[in-house]
Amino acid sequence: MEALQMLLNGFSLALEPTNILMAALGAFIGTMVGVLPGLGPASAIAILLPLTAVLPPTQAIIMLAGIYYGAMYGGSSTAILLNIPGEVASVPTCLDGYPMAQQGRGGPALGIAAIGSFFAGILGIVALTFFAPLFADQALKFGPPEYFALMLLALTVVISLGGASISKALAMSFFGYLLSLIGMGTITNMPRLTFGSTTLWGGLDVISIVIGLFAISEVLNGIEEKKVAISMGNIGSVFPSLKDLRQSAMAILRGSGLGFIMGLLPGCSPAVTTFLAYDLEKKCSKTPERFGKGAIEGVAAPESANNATSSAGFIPLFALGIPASPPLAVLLGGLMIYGLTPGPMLFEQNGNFVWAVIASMFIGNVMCLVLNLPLVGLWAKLTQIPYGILAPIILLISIVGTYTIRNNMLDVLVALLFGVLGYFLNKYKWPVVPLIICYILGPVLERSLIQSFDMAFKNPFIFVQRPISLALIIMTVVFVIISVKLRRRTRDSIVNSGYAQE
Amino acid sequence: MKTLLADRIAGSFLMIIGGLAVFEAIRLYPMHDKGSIIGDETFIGFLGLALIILGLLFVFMLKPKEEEKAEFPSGELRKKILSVMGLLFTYWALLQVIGYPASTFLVGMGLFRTVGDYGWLRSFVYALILIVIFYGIFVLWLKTPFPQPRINIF
Repeated sequence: MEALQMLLNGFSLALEPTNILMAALGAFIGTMVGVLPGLGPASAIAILLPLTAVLPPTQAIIMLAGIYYGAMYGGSSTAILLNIPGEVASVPTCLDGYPMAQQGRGGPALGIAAIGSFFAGILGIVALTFFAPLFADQALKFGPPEYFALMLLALTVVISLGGASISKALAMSFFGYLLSLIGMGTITNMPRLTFGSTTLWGGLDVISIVIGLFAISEVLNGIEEKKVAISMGNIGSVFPSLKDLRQSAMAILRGSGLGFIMGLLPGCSPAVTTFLAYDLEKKCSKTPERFGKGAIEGVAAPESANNATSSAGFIPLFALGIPASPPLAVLLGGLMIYGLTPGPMLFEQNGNFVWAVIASMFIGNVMCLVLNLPLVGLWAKLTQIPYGILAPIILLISIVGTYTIRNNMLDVLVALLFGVLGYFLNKYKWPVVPLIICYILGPVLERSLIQSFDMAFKNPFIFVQRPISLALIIMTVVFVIISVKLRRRTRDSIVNSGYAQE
Repeated sequence: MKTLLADRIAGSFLMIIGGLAVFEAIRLYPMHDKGSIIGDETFIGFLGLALIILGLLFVFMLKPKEEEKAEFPSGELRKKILSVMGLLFTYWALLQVIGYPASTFLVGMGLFRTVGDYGWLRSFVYALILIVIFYGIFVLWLKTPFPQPRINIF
C-alpha cells in the first residue's frame, strides 16, 4: 500500500499541466524520430537526449519517458509498413506485419501493435510499481561486496547483447571499461589515462559516445544505403475490427506474460522474447500456416512481448542499475545526466523523483496510444521525407545536442570520432552495446571492489561469505548459462526468418 | 577488405590500446598505497593485459565463421561518405572560428548538397530555413552558450 501511496504522490507531480505537456511532447517527437526508417529506438533516444538536457530535471525525465515509449512504438511502424526492422526485436513483427500492410491492412496491424504495446506497457509499469520497492527494501543491506557482485551480474547482459561473437563483445566491453577510467583516479585522485591532456581530466561524457555510436554512425550507414522515400499506399483504418481484437486478445496476453517474465532476467533482451513470443503463438495457433502471410496474432504477440520486456526491464534498471536492452542502456545514460544513478539506493535517495518518473511512464504510455492511433497517417507521411533532407538535420541536431550537454567542444569531437568508429565497427559486425554498458557500469565495479577490500581487510573471500553477494554471484553464473542458450536460439530464429542482421 | 583481415587489424589496435593501458598502469604504480590491494592502476593494468591477449587471439587464432567481405561504398558513394565525415569535422572546427550561425549555415548547405544531391540554390534555401529554425530553438529559446567566434560574420 505504501507503493500505491508513493505512486499517487508521483501522479500529483506528473499530472501538472507542464509535465503532461512534456509527456505528450516526448511521446510525439519520440515516435516522430523512431518512425524514420533505419533509426532504431536506441538511436532515436540518443538523438533526442540532448534536447531534454535544457529542461528542469523532473520535466526532462518525464519527457524522456515519453520519448522512450514513442521511439519504441515508432520502431514497430517501420517494421510493419516498410519491412524495415529498426532493431532485431522488430524482426518477428515484420514477418506478419509487412504482409498485412501489403494486403492493405497496415492500419489494423499498427492499431493492434499500439494496443498490444499499451497493454503490455501498463502491465510492466504496474509490476514495476509493486516489485521495485521490494528490491529497494533490500537496498540498506547492500554494501560494496554486494554492489560488486551486482555489477558482475549486470555484465552478463553483454552476452545477450553482444551480437554474433562473444570474443568481439568481450573486447568491446574491455575497451568501454578502459574508456570509463579516463579522468581522475578513484583512490589517488590523480589523472590517469589522460596522457598529459588536461581536457581529459573530466573524463569522456557518456552521451557524446552514445550519440556518436548510435546516431551519427546510423546516419552514415543510412546515407550509404541510399535510403529513399517510400510510398506505402493505402494502409486502411487503424482501428482493428472486432474479429481482429478477438484473434489478438490471447496473443497479447501470452506475449505480455512471456515478455514480462523473461524481461525480469537481467540478461534477457526484447530481441530474445519477441522471437519466443512469435514461436509460442505459432505453436498455440490452430492455423499455424497463416503465420508469415499476414496473421494479426503474429504482430500482436511479438509487439506485446517487446513492450512487456522493455517495461519489465525497468525493474532491473531502476532497482539494480542493469540495462537489459540497447534503448535502456541509452536511457540509463540519460538518467545519469540528471544525477540519478539507478541501483538499490535509487528509491532511498530519490524516492519522490522516481515515483514521478514511474507515474509519467503511465502517462507516456497513454499518450502513445492516444497520439499514435489518430496520427498513423502523419507517421506514414514522415517516412516519405527524402533522406537527403533528414540526414543533414539529424546530423546537425546530434552535434549541437552533444554540445549542449556540457557546453564543451571536446564532447563534440568525441561524438564525431565515435560516429566514424561506429560506422566501421558496424561494417565489421563489432557490437557497440557492450562498450556503452561497460562504460556506464565500469566505475561502479572498480569503486565497489576497492571498498570491498578495504572493509574486508584484504580478505578476497568476502564476496562469497555474505549471503546477498553470494546469491548474486550464483545468479551471475546461472544467467551466463541461460544467456548463452537463449543467444543460440535467437540466432537460429533470425537465420530462419531470413532477416540476417546484427 | 575481408573480415578476417579487418579482425586482424582490429586485433593489432587492441594490442596497441592494451599496451598503452599497461604502460599507464606501470606509470601509476609508484603512487599505489602499499596498504591496499587495489590501486588506481590495477584495473587499467588488468584491462590492458586482457586487451593484449584478445588482440593476440584476433591476430593469430580467431577466424570468422565465414570469411565474408564487408561491403564498403565505392566511387561516388565513397566520395559522398568521406565528404560528409569531412564536413562534420569541419563543422567542429568552424564552430570555434566563425561561430554557430555562420558555421551551421555553411555546413548545412554542404550537407544538403552532398547527401541530397540538391543544386546549390536549393541547398542554400534549405540551409537558410534550417539555420533560422535552429537559431530560434538553440540561441533565442534555449540560450545555449555557443563558443565565442574568433571571426564575426553574422
